[in-house]
Amino acid sequence: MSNNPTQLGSGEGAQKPHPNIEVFYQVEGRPGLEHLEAPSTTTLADLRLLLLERHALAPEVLLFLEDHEEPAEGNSPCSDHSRSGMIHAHVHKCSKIKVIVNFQEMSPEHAFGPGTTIAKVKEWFTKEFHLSPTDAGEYFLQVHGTNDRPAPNVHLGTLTHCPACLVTFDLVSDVKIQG
Amino acid sequence: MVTAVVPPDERALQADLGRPEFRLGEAQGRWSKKSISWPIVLIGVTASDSAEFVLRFNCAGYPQVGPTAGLWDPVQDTILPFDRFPLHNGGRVSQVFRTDWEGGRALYHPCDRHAISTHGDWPGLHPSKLWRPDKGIVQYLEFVHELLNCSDYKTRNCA
Repeated sequence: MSNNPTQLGSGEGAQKPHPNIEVFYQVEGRPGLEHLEAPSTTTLADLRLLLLERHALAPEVLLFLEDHEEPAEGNSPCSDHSRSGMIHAHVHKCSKIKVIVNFQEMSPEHAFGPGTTIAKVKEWFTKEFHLSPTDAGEYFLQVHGTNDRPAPNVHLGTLTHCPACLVTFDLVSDVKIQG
Repeated sequence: MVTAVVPPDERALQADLGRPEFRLGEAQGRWSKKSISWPIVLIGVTASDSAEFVLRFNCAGYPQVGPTAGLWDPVQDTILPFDRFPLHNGGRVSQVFRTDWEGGRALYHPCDRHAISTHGDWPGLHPSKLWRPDKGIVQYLEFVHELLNCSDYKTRNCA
């Protein structure tokens, strides 16, 4: 029996308890991903304050868990939101990010949380454009006016800043790789 | 006392393997480092059906020079036999994991050093796929992981 009294969240099942949570996070305006370890009992509110202090951020900055629409706050421990002892979060001033996807003659839009992944956006436009999974697999989100096609795990928050809170994509088909 | 001098390209790769971007991929089970015997680096990438495909990277000159990599059988220490290459539905997976090019020793993709060096028109045709030293090896792993998890990838059990 473990000496560690930490109670893990329902998502952890019977896995070995993690005394610490690994927090991978991105901060608006800072390049690259960051990492820290925090006690698994750290609440979401405490984690937000910890990150605000660590990076000298403005008090209105919000914390988002990956693929969550609403800000992460309250006294719920981080361990309740972890998978395999790890959470992936985003710190951003935008409460929502408006996404516009240009495809043929259409330009639908939708608002997502800054921690939303490109993969999640792709799920949305697959439904929006009534694409089959096979067809959807042949299209990529390319940031409008660039050659940048963010990987599926990239957070929307890395692609825009407050007060714009807007990302415009072109939905492009892949050019066949051939000699 | 003799101190081993670690070459700058190996130091750069080691630094990138310690970056959160690579460690997040490991924590999420998307890839895992197997071994380093400079300049050879073995990294496994997980497919949508949990099958793992090991890439044998040659990282000489990293990161200014991009790596080249091919599918590898770490047990037999040889190129992965073609009958164990990723299965596909005839789309993007088959374009990259080719068995009819260079004996399967490199991936047919603009991010790969060997492939780009033999296709002078690719930089103009595939600007979004070119190697970027600032993104490092995670860029290569991300496109392989994306391919092994796209709808064109076919689970072997269903073949």
